[in-house]
Amino acid sequence: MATEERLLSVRGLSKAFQLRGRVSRRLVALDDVSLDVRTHEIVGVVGESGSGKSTLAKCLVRLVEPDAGTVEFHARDVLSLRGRELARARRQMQMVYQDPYSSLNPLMSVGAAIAEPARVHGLVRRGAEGEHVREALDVVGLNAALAARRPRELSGGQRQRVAIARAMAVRPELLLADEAVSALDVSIQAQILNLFASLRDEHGVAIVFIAHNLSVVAHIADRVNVMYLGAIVETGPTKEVFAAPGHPYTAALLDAQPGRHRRRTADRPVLRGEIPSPLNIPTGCRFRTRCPLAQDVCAEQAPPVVDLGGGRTARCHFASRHIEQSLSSR
Amino acid sequence: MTGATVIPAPPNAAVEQVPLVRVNGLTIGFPAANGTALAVRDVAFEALRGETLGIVGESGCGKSLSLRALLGIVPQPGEVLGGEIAWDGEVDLLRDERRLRSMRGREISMIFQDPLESLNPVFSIGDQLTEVLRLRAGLARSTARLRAVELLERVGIPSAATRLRSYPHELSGGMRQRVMIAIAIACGPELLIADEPTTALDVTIQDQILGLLVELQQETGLTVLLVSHDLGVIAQMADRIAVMYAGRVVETGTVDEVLLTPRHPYTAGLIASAPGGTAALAGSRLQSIGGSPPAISELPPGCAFAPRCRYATDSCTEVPMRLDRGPGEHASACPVVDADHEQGRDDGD
Repeated sequence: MATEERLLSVRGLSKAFQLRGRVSRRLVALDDVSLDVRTHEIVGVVGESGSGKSTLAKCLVRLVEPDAGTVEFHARDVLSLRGRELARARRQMQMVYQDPYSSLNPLMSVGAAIAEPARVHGLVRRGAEGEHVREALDVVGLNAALAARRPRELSGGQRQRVAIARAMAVRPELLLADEAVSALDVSIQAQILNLFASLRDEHGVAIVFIAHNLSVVAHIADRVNVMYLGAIVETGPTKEVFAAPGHPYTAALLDAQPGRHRRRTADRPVLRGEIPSPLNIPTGCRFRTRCPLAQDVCAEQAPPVVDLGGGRTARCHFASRHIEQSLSSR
Repeated sequence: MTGATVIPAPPNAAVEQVPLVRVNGLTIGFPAANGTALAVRDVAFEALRGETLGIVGESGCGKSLSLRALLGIVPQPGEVLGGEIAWDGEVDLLRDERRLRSMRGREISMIFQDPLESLNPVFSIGDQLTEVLRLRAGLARSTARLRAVELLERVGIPSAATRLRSYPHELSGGMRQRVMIAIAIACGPELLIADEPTTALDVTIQDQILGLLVELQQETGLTVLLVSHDLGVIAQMADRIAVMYAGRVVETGTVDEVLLTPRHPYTAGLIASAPGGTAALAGSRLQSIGGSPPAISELPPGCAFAPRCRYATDSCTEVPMRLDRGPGEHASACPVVDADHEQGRDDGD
């Protein structure tokens, strides 16, 4: 751990979208989000629909401009970068998306798709891409002969490998994987998860791994951030967070994992009700409308970030390392 | 998995039960460049009254298609080429179209992954629900309306009477699936076919919908055929499991038999591929299955899983897969690992 240094540091990131219509409405996508990524680290971000996890990734590379907050990459303020400097920061932070069917140009060969960003960033000269493409394909475990193929000739797993090769070809220090295994069948998903782990181990990239699937994040991430309606409600080392959640939402998410309970009936789940709309976030604690532990104070005051020690925090008036017990004995 | 909640045994449990539905030798083909591609081959499974049969497998394994054959809705240009589907030991649904038509939406109903595709966007959910009740159950308009409110309340939709006027786009994904379930149970079906019913939903909402299905089943003795790619969902819901690969059933048995002591290398691989769900395994590599499933138009001769199987021998590429079993037994279509069951089990864990 001593050799690991801080690579990415996000503080107080907020983003709201104004929706036009007869009545102008404000959709809060991110609210005061802070997180750190160290070199060689896989940081998980897990949450359900509307939690803001994808907006977070887009804000980091400024595909979406945040309203407030800071993003420091290598101690440089990404939000104030322009031109060449911004391009360089973006080269170092590469996105991998969910659907390799729409993220790859169907008319470009695999080789051309991989060579293009490397050429744009000036890493390889036109006409000399062959070796670069071969290396990139090798990194993701694909045969160099695939360079001549088109995406439609590849399976879903191969396409996602190509998308990853394309990202790795510009020698990034950070991958932002946004639901990168969610569209894959489980046997292929396992291959790609193993690939991400080996990219970290053998090529030293750090990864922000965003997913709605808790077991995938639990498997791959060193540290995890649990998001709910635009805010990080809990963060800490993955093993410890999922072994003893400190926030009732984390506990409920864990409890809702399919297969944990045999034939549970509808009146038994910990969480009732629906996720509120990000257009209308509850006052006080955003989770209180579904929280089995909610008290009056939760509607009145936004909960503080409670330090649980050992790098763990939870945003809850009743945060503790054994919140799951209080839920099950409720 | 504790199995704490047990479905009450039917009164005649001691007698050999006739399955509510028994599929045998089901084969479905699609026209292809080189003749006919078989998307479903010689598939057999059965479900007893009141039980849940889980059908699990990856994209393109034929799990949804097999169930569509039960309702006679195999999409064109697909065609059922053979087999039989016995209903209550009597009618063959593949050969009695009139009977099947009368059963659809009454004795047998179905819910799909995406309720937005199944619901009509220009009619209110009340219209759609009362239409079913009037056409299928023959209720008068006013009675149908009262019954519709009851049904929406039953599936957990708050302020049901007001909600009747809502259009599908005004509801969340979870609420839409509840409406679909209300329509599906409107005529008191005996069999519910659920094709990835919670795949598009958030996990906390999925938990609620799965719970609702369990409740309905406990109340009415509904038989459920549940298709899912998610072993967790299957483990939570099913009494028995059929695992499908490349158009065939490769393993069947009770939930515990198949998930705890898998006998087919594909089942074992599927289990090992799934991330644990707890942090216990973090940091370790998953035991993935190499390669990818074959296209149905290019199935290898012999066992379709052989090219990805680490137990494969020369004979695997020659002898076609065959699931040998008596009724209700734990059966696998793999002769290699079956012969050496203990070894297969050890490696599978």
